[in-house]
Amino acid sequence: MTRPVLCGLLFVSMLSMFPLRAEKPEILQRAWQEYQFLSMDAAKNLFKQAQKLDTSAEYLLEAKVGLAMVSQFREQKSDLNVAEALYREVLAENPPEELRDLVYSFIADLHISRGENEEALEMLDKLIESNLNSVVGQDALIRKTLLTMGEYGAPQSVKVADETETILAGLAIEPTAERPYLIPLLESLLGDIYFWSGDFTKALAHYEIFTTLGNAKTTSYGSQAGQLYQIAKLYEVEMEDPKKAGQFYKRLITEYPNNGTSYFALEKAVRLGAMSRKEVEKLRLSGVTSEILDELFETSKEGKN
Amino acid sequence: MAEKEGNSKYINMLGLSVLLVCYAGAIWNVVKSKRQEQRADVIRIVHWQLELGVRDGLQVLIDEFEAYKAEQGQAVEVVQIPIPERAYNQYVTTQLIGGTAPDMIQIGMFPEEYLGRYFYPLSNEIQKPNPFMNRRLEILSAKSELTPVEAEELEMVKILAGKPWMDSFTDGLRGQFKENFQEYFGVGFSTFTVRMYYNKDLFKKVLGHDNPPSKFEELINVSNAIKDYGKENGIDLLPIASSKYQADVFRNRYLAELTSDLSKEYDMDYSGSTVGEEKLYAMLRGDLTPWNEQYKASIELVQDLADFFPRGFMSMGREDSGFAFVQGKAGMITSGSWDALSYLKKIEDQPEAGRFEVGIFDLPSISKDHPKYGQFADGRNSEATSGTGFGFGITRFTRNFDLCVEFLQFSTTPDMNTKVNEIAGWIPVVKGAVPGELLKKFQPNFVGYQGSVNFEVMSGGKVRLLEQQVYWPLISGDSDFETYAKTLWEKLPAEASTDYKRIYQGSMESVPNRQARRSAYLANVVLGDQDPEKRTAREIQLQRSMQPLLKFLVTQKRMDRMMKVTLEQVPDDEMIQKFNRDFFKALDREMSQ
Repeated sequence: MTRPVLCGLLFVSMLSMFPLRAEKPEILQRAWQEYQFLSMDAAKNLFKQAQKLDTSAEYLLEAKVGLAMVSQFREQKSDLNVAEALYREVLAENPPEELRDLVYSFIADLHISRGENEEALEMLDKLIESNLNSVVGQDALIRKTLLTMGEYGAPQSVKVADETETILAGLAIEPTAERPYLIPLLESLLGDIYFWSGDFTKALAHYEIFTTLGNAKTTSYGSQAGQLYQIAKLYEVEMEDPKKAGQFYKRLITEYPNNGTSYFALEKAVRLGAMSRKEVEKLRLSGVTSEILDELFETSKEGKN
Repeated sequence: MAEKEGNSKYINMLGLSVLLVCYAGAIWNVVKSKRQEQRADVIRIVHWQLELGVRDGLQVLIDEFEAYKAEQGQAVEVVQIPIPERAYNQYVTTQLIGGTAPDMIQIGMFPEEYLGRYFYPLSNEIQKPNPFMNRRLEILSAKSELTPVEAEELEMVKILAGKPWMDSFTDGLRGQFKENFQEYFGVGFSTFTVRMYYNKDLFKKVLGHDNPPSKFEELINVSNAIKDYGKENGIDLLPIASSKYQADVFRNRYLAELTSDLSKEYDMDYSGSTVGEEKLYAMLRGDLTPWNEQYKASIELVQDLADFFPRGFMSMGREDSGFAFVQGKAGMITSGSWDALSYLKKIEDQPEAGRFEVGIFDLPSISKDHPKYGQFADGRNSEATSGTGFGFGITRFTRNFDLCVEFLQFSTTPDMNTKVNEIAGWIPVVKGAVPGELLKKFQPNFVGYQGSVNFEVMSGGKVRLLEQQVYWPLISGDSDFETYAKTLWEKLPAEASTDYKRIYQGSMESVPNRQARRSAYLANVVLGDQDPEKRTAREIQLQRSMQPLLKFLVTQKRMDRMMKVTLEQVPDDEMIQKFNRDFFKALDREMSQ
């Protein structure tokens, strides 16, 4: 009988050691909303008000980060020194790990704005090393790649892309279409670097991941449709692999029909033998009459002959 | 004298009373508006559609929504504010900057940057199902007898009820997606396409039948027949009512039919279309000059058509040509679906003898066997991206965000979408909504290709101005093609260099604001609620905000690379070499400024 009571007491005392997170003060929520709309003066006032609230230490720290961000990112009258001083104050208060990394991330931005690339890279490397499994570290990896790659097509860009590939291989998480983190963006950037350097095999590998991890909801309809078109074209023109090209044209017309290149993709998919008449009919595309289908499939037969 | 004084007294009294009435009216308006603002259940919606039927259509939606909310026990008032097109940008800008903007604003006519500053992104809302689909499903399922249209609607609603709201639009609401923000800011009610309207009665008189032309050469034949008929009978009859506006519709449509393959050919990054700078690279390689056969053919084709336009069409307005058509003075006119109802109403308003039956047909394509243009014919221009228009966004100043979303959801079930468009005379965009009989011919046609090639380096830039200066004299017959081509080619390098510089440097202009947004979304991931589902949603928002940022950050690298590849392909041809020399000389000058 005493054991359950003791367990209960222990549980309650443990709970009191880790109090439930208090609701974020409304002023702070409004401050972030103003910040998102880039109303920096309003955001600044609200962050200042939030600093005076009788609330938990974490929210007071959050308000300070917000104030620093306003000073750093506002379009006019930005003051990088004020921002840096505030970030240092936050770091001095020994914030939780992810908040600390967020501050490092903004300090890296600050260095980039001042042209202090070495300092920025040092900070970005720290983030990549400590937090690659979160979007903060992945964001740092994107910025490091951009900062060091040089021109498209230059050997330096390929070297940097190779390095980024190696870092990505060390990911301890498994991004999925439901939770892709920032991996589709990194894949797209790597694909572009290899594309402009003429390494289409590597470009295709990265672009294809972009279309499997990303979708219309997590990236966008247009970017996915555009990517499928580019992959299909690369297989068709550069890799001379019509079968693969046909598969990607088919994906384009099936998954993203509201696109300017869709009818072109439909024709290609049919001509390259990737789609049957039944499959096309199932799509119920407006304007695609049986006469048009007759012509489409007749031409495709002629093409094969 | 006393009588005069008495009169003057009356006039003064009258003046004073008018003043008092006006003053009281003004106070009443202010009080009424304040009262409305203080009530949490008033939403205001502003748009610029003053076309016949549109306000009535929207009002029906409003009335039905208010009635529905009243049934739910909530008094809601939706106030419609139509603003003329000319004053719209100014009105919206003032209201947004002043922080007094209405709850919902029709998107368009104002700078796109406003969306990021003053409008709520709706991406999260439109990815959830529209609850009113379920309501409609219940209503239809409860009916003992369904009309064939309702039965079809029921089948569609069954499919849509559990799907994201965006999937209930014929284009997946793609028309309301803003690439530069990677966000949806609006929900639309209608879509629009361009067709040709024709006078069926006149066709019967002239041709003995009222079948519309199905090929370009038939359009020319019909136009000739109408012209001859007018001459023979001494009637002032136009084959095609046209102004500069309509001439441009023809130009764009047929340019696309004749050059869409070039658009694929000059597409260096395989993006699916040729953008402005890629056209410039094609010029620098000597692939694209005004003497390009396909481009030249597109101009000659408009010249052919211009023979059937009214004399002095260039100084006419769009309304003038519409007026000529509805008065029965023309056989055909090209315009959008937005004019359908106005044309029909105006024809109906004519004296009985002047009324006629209107038919609609798609602009006839150039067939492959056309003796002159057939060799370049690619096929029709696709309307797969005609998208959702007449879209409304929700401003950050609203105190009724949820109510605004509810109004938009209520308005976009198949039955409501049918209703608003039936009254407006526009094309519905919700799956299962039924277009009016006349509008069926306007349904977007997926078949066809995208893209065309002209000399415009930057949208609305200096090259465009230059080209327009030499193009219209050519079409009106005041110049010849050789003069057009020579002048354009000579002046292109200087104008193209300005546009190129603006694209190159302009790509970085929006970067600071986008970096600020990225910082907001990144902070939001770290500092927001750490529930895995909510965190994932914020990570996705961060990714979407970073996509356009990344695009802008690499634009200059991309342009530098394409330019380098281009310069390796410049032919040893003096005309092209000179073009290159002139361009780079001008570009150096531009860049040093």
